Amino acid sequence: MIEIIIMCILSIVSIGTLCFICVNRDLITAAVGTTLISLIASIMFVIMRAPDVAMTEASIGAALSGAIIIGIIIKVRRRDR
Amino acid sequence: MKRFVAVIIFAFLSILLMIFMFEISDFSHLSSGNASFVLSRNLSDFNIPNIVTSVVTQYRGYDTIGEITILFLAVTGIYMLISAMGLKSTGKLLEPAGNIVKSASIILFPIIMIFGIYIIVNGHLSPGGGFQGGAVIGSGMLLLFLSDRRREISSRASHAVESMAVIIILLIGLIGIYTANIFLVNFMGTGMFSSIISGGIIPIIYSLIGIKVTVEFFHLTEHILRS
Repeated sequence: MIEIIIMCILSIVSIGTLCFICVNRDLITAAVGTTLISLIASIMFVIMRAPDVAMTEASIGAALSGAIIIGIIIKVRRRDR
Repeated sequence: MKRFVAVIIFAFLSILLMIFMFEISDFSHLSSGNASFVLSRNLSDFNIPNIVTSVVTQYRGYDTIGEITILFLAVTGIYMLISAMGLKSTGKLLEPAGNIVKSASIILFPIIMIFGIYIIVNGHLSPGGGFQGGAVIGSGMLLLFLSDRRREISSRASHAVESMAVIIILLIGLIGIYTANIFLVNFMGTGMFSSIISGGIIPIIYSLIGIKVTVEFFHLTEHILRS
């Protein structure tokens, strides 16, 4: 039961982060927000007893894809119009 | 208006997720069919504790080779896109790293490398394996690159290592065809339960996949950041 409550809290936090990403105008803040979502997702995978998926999610979602997105944003432009 | 729509979507998705959270917390209906086949056959076939690894590299070995092919095609597509856009490798694009990143990378890089190698080598004993460890080592190397951008890894050598890893995986699969008429079949002894050298060809294949994934991820991010 406690697992389900933690999962609910984490999912609400991740959806809130998603809405924050959609609303704000600074793209680098939004990229950091996507890495935060991956981090929360990896915690949720650990709670669902899938530790190998959690490792993939943490390293790819939080480190590599964040670096790729930020690198591309720096090349293109920073502000959303 | 934008904020109002965001709040409504937030509330809707939250309620939906709450409902699903209680629905998916029951896994009891999954323990039949293919799952019971794998659970009953795993110990006698490969003698390893991590069942996921035996599924990924043996029961679904074709899918894994398809996966690494897809990864290779995606990275090739990004290289082609970058070279078609005319972005030349300049070597210095971002401003140099600050002191925090520099001193943190000195401490963190060895720990990340050891953790990634541990994940790859223990892929058949504990959770993890080639893809996970490769991604971890790739992000550790990315940290080293971000701390000092003058560091360079020869792209010709890394491409050679990557290609050799795939060629050796395919050769191991072909040896399976030669011995038992099945691609990627386990032709070695399974060894003692839960020791490092056990499980036949599973650790070899997963280590090679780890090398390939490491090189591919690191080169992809480095190429994008440097171009």
